[in-house]
Amino acid sequence: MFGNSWQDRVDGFLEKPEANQKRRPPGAARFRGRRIVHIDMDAYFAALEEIKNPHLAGKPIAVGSSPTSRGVVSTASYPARRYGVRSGMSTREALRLCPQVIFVGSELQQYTYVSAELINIYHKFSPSVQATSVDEAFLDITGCAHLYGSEEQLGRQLKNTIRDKLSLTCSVGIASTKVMAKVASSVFKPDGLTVLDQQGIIQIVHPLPVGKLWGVGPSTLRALEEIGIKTIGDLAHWPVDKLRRRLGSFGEALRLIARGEDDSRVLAQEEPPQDKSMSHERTLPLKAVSRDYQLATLHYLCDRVTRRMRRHNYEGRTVTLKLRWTDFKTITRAITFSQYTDDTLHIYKIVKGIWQAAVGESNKPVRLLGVAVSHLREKVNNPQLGLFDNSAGRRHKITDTFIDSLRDKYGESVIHRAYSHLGSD
Amino acid sequence: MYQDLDDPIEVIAVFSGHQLKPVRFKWKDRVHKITRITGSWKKLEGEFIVRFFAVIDENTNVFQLMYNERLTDWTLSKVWVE
Repeated sequence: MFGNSWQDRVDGFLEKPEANQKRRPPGAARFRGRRIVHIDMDAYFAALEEIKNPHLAGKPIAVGSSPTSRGVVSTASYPARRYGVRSGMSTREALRLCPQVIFVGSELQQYTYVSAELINIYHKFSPSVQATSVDEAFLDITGCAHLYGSEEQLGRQLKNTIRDKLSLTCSVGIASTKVMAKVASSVFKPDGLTVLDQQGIIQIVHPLPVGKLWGVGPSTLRALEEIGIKTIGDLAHWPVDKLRRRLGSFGEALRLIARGEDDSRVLAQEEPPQDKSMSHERTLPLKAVSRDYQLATLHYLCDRVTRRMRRHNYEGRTVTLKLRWTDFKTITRAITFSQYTDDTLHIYKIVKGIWQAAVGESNKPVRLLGVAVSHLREKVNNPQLGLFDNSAGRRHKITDTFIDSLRDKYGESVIHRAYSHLGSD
Repeated sequence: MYQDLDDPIEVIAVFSGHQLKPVRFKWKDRVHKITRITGSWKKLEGEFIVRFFAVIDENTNVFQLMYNERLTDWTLSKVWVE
């Protein structure tokens, strides 16, 4: 049925559409006609640093910690990217690739503040805005384009507003699904605008490498390449049965995404995702390899995560430890328990147990530690007496409440638990 | 690169149109005239606001000033050194 090129496979697919239509999820039809915008700010942190400091304009800069520490590059300016410097790369590697790169410490408070201003701008174009990170967002503009003349004009006006108000550029993608809008925004960067209809998906998106598709990570990419899928177009027209055999239902879902048929909605801020988790992680300084330092860092991370949980009135029952060694091998270990909790010390004790089991007596140097709590639910006001409501649990609760109230009034840095101080900011 | 500081400074500022704008500041006995504010943002420290200003002086030196509303004091938090 299929020839060698993906176009042959498209033709093959079109001959028997009904065979594949059956597998379309029932929700897909509901979202036909939707139009989604994805906005990706161009080298966001670096751009903000250049605006603040004209001495940096046009130079290769990397926002992140200095190469004397063990941090990573958060954002590289476009001149730095020409040398191969990328986000997530260690600062030492960045310096090796580009010896003249200028390192600038990140100013997260400013980036978050400007991000809130961006969201205010987005709300002028659509009531449905989902910020997926500090520099990316989706807008559902279904039914809005006619107000601006066309989708392209809406996109241009959005870009102009951001440039005029904040002196920043962004790349915008407009398509019928979130994934296709995201791919579209990455096609022409920086300062691009790409509007995709179904024909555009076939002409522009399908020839792209399959790794460009949102949701295709390194292991999925390997699995897809092993069965001969190289492009997004290959995936879109690969036989469903073969995909399901290799990747299960995820393979089938990916195929629909590649065809521009996924039905994930733009989740406005008031609609929290169902499977929410809260996490915090930290790259350890070069000299901080002792077990005590690691435990103090874990204590600090548990404190940060549970503080956020209590602030948003959540409690959870799955705790995950993330541990990355200096050779970049990363493991995650999780424990789920029957009772929900937001107790800092209780969660720390669980994390400590997972960490002890993972590390053992080894002194192998650790690069990064992370703690996540998932299976979250809104806190129940009058819960039944739980396993943790013993006298220790009550003492923990009083301590947590007291620390929270001090931080609410005077800020997060006003008080630290003594044990976590070594691993705190 | 930026040099992190925590130096108390004296500042002349203008309150206008619900905005606070530093105009001049005195650091190490020298007065710097602010020619441009290139960035301003704020953060909440508990119930109180801390305001930040990225500024350039008449000699194109780059600084970061911080105003703590709870303490009503100004601090020079960063300076750019070539």
